[in-house]
Amino acid sequence: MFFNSIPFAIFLPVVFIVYWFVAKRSVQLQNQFLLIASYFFYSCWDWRFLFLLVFSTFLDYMTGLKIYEAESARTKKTWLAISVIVNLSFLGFFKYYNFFTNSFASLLRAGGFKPHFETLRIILPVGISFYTFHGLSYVFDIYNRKIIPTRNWVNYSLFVSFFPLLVAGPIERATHLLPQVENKRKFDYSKAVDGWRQILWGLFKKVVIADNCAEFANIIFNNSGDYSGTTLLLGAILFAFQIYGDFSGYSDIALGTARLLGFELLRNFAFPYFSRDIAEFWRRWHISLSSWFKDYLYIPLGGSKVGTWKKVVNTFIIFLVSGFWHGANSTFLAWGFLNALYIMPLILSNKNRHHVKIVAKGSSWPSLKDFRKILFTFSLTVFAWIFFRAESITHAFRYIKSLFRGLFAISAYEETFNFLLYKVGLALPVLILLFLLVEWQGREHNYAIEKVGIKYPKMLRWSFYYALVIAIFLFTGKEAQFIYFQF
Amino acid sequence: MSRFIRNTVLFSILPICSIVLSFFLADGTTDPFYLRFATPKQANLILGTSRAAQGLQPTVIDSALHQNGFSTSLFNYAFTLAHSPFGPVYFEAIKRKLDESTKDGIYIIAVDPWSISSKTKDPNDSAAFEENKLCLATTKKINSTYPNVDYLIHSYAKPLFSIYIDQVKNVLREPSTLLHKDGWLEVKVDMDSASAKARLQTRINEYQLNFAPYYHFSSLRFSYLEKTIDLLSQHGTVYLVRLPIHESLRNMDDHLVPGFDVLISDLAKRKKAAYINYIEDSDKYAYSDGNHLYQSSGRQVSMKLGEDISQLQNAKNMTRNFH
Repeated sequence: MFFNSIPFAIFLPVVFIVYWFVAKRSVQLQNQFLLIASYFFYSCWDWRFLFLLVFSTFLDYMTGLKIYEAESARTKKTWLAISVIVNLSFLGFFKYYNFFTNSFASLLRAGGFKPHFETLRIILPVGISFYTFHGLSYVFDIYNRKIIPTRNWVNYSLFVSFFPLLVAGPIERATHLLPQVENKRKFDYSKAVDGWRQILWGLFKKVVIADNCAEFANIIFNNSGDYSGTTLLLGAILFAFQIYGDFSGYSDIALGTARLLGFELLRNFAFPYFSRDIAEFWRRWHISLSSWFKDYLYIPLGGSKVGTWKKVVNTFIIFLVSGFWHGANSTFLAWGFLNALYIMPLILSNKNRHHVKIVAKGSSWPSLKDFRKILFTFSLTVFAWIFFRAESITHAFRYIKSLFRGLFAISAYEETFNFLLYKVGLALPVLILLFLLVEWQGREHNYAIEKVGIKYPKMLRWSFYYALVIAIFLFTGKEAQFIYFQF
Repeated sequence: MSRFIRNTVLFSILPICSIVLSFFLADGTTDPFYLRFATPKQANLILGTSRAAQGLQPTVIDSALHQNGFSTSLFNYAFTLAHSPFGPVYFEAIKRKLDESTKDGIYIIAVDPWSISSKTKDPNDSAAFEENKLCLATTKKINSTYPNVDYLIHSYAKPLFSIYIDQVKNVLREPSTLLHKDGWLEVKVDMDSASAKARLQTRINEYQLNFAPYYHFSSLRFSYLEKTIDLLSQHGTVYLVRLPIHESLRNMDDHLVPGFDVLISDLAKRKKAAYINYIEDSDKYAYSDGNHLYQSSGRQVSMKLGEDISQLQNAKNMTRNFH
């Protein structure tokens, strides 16, 4: 059940009505209902993996209690280790088994051996990376005495399995979401309307921007040998918009859906393509994952309060692990490595918090200096996305080689112009420009259209929303699946 | 809360109504496949790729059969080379479209070398077949009564609103393709010599560059052709037909599967089906692009096929009566 599907368009109103009307008697009843709805939502993907989700939930619930009740530090550590090992073993098996087997076999082959390893046809359970990280953050927070474990199984299960965030985040923290689960939610008209608005914007990003970009990015990446440098550059830019529209669109729908039910989820994106350096980009892209790694890996490793050499090592660890989290492919590792390289000069010169404030706050346009910085950061990001999108490292290097080799040929421009004119058409570039303009105008808010027309008469406001609906109907792209569901 | 629900309902009315209305506006101009999914199960079928989809006109074949005393109502369930080469997907789709209660049906299976070949690295790797991702595989409800919402949501390649745009375009100018309710895909093109020649050249280039180097005979697809004949033989009479094509494309056909006619003749003998081969008459007909019969020629071939089937049916009935 995709967020952009008819079944979800039926599921959500049904959940909304039952939740606010039938189950409104008590918060427990509401939570029980939401848990059933979430499990139903998950089993629509593959009911067999529901058992894994329930087991993982039970494991972290129990180990959380055991850690809290343990009298000695050693017992606490043992229970923490059990939780971490079991959780990561599941994640490792389902996500990385074939990767490690193949890599090990290649290594042996390079040494002259003839290994006979079996790779398995393992189906990756949807959302496993996300709910595993939910659970781990819970046990870590108990271990670090940031929270007291809940003794209510339903509440904890709902924290892990709440359907808007179950399959692709945002990665929530118990300190943030669990209190909301435990306390009574009150219906708030303006918040609910805001929820719809964010869902609408998320749908626009996904269905219009991401899915249309995907069509042409796929053509270029899948046939990269046939195209010249500028067309390959176009392919990489289109993929940059695809992945942003896809993932931030998904996050918007998730946040909007949760808000309809009275929950506030963690913000996941904050206009990352308007960042002025790569450190700012990483404070604005997939925020819930970046902050997870920062809190549970970077800081325990010593963070930035260590010597220069350790700082370098820690940064590389974070970015490599982050890359590996995305999938068992060396392309993701290369992507993480490249981002670590990008950020290193900023960290070493202590300039990584140079751009904390919103760009050009209070003014309509950025200064020329800011604009240059934004463009440079965007170029670095686009370059790194080539590794993220490529099928293999070889493919990525071939792509980059062809990109630079053919970048300054007149015939290349002609080919790209024809590709744009005859394949892509004018509609998509215009839509991307409009999209960027709306995002720029809304960059001081939680999402781009949060305040658009809020003070206008209803007719005018609705006209804007209808324009978005019409754009969604008119320009629905072919691609349907969210990229981050595979992670 | 009531204000929120009122406003939500008010806002949603227009989008929901336009979605529902678009379902009802979908017709034979929506795309070249939709109406074949918005019809019930069928007793008599025409199967194959786009050569059959455009070339064989059920009403013309029916009329020829009616003149000879047979009462049939054929349905053209042929798609394209991408959608309906013989294989697991097409076989399942045929099974689902077939009215299992039929005992004396007529089944015309158009065969050509491409429909038993594959462009996958391993031509027998069914998991990699292109049709796995196309409408015959993605539409769960194949025999919907009109409209087929499942098809329009899951398999329709364009945004739903393009149904409206297409309707407006149809008012302004005649659509170039029209899928009839009997499944025949009518293609309207200018047949002046210059444009016909240009289309032929485009098609030849397409086959030379994109198809010929990658396609290879697939024993798996051939076995599914056999399975299809076996299935349909249980419900009536099967006729294997090879349609005429332009000479330059025929050369590529011959090159792809040498001895194709012998292969199919043997198959027909083994399966006790008739093989009607019109490939030698290719120069008698006009083609919209070399690969597909132009509609007037399609009518001629369909009429001839109807008469040939009538003769074969009569002969078969006489033999049965004699025994």
